[in-house]
Amino acid sequence: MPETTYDSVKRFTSSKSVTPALSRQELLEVSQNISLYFAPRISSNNKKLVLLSIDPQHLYAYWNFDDDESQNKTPSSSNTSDNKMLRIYSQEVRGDVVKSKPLVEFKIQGSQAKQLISLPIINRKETYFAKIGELNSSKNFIPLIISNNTACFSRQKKLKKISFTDYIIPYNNIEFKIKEQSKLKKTHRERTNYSGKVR
Amino acid sequence: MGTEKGFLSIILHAHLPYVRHPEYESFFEEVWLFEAITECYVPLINALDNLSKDNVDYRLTLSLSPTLLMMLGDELLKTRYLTYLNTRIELAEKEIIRTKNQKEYQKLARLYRRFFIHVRQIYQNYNFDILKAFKKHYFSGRLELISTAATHGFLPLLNISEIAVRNQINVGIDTFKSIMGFSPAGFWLPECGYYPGLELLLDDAGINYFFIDTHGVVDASDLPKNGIYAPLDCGNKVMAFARDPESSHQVWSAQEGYPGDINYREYYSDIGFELDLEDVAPYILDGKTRINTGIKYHRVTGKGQEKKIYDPKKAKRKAYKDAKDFIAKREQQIKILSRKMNRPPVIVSPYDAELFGHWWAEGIHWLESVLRLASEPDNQIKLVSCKEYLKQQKNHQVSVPSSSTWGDQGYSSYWINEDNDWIYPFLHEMAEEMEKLAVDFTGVSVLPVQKRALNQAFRTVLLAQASDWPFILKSGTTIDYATKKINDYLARFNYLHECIRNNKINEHYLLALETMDNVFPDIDYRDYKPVI
Repeated sequence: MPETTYDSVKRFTSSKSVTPALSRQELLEVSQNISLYFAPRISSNNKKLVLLSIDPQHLYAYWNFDDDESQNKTPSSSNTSDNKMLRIYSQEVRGDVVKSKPLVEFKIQGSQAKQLISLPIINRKETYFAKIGELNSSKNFIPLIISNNTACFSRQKKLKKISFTDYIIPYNNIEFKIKEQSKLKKTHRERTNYSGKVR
Repeated sequence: MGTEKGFLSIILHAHLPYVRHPEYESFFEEVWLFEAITECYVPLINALDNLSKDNVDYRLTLSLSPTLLMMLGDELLKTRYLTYLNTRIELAEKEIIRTKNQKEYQKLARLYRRFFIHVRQIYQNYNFDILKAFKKHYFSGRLELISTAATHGFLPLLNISEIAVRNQINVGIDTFKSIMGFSPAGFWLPECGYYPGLELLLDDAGINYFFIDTHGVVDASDLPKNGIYAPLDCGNKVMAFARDPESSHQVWSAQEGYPGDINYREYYSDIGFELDLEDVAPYILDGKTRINTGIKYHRVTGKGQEKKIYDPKKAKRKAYKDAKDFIAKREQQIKILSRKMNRPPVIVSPYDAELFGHWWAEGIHWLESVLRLASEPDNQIKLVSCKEYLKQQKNHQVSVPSSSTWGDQGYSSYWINEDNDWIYPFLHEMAEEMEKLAVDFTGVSVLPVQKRALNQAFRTVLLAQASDWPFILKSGTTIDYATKKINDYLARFNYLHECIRNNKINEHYLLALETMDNVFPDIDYRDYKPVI
């Protein structure tokens, strides 16, 4: 059986070259040099606090800011490195009125830069935001940085059993078995993870 | 389209991350593409050709990701693919000789040889252009083609920057348009990752419909009157179709799903792992590291039993039987649903394309049989594409779906957890810096080389955002590769950013980056400027 090569067939039909303008060695050198000298780093000048939704019960926060600078900006605070807090707020909009209330807070330890947050209350109409601040000597919270708003995931409805008829009317009081669904996806994924192909 | 029937819409989502490595003579991860072409895409084309030849009036929707579109059209990868395919034929020929005293195995070796030659023949018939084949079937009106985000970015975790999400969507659609020659009506949200508000960006991009997981509709802002068996109008005429759990379960489930049947071919039994090293050395990685070769001699067999030899005829019969079962269950479903609904139900069954043929060897035969059986006039099912359904059915319920994904646990936890959370500060900062570059270099005079560097920075941002990398980091499959890919992209962006800011661009380096990350040729960095 004679071998078919793309080159041999396409030579007469395509003007496109399959040979890159640079040699493999040159490409590899550029790739390696860049990876060596420009390795990922987070700019310390770029202060930020980011809040992300994971699921109806969890948020995730990460932050980056210079500790010394923040202390300078809050002269009223004392012993700041011991008093830094991450505070999560819920926010509800009713007409023109925006109501925010603190939900949960965490003491930030040393060089900590991220936090997984379990939500105590789930309300589908709420969004969330976070602040990092310090407690001053009077135990007042002095915010240093504020996050983006993130919409919450909605509460799950509940199905009594898994059957396709449960996905149509009557809809009230049915139990959506999300865990069964997730299990189903997981087993698929466990079966189908191949050398990095991802679904 | 009659009103007495219910509808079935089957969607295959085909996607691979960008795994092209011109800096190496050969590269292991490129085999992901070659396996998918050999075992899934070409056999799928063959099935569609068969259906066409027999004038079967089927409907099927295929989502082709932009990274896959780019790779399927790439000259270097096409050349490498044919080399790969030729080595499979060579291996099968060697196997015919090696198994001369094991007649049953030799029969299978011959079958593999025929299969690889057939794949090569089909590929050659389409002038080595798989997309040409899909286009042909699209223009026949039976195959609906849609697309997804540029690099399959996981949008719910990119949405702290609207412009990042907007560009994943717009570049994806523009790439599809420029390669396929028409605009997609539908959009596959990567990992079915939806959050309220996404429909506005889809609308801006000219998209009419998208897909979400079941609970996205179940938990919609208003009670969905027809449950998941009719689409929801998100409030701006962009429609959300929900995945049907019943038909998903029948195919996905490892325990009860069709692919786990004892007669089907066992994916994990591959001669790359089973034969003596000297027999397979030229066909594995560097002659030392065992990998799949595509030649597999055993069937699933029973739990705890020694693997038995594969019987392709028996497996094919089983696939047909499973196809009949699938159709019978959909008919039953439609019968019950149509009594309770104010319109004909539409059952939406989306699957990963690579499940068919690659993971589930008989999957393509099953799919072809399903499409044939569903197209028979005397059943209660009408195959439909979502585009056709929307033309036929008007006045949809308005309700905003809830945030959801089709991943483990139904939300975002697979893409952000202790194994992969480290990437997000980098990805978000990179998008932010790209935004600043776009703002600073829009409306000012830019040299051609600066423009090239800015566009390359934009490409790099998109490539780093692929959902595949956090997924692999969590699943633990090829962690080193995913980690290297992200770190390389981040480093390349840092490099370009510094060059652009200092106005010192090394053209040799820039050309090297353009050669290695040669996606999205028509990209324009100014599109990263936020929309006011």
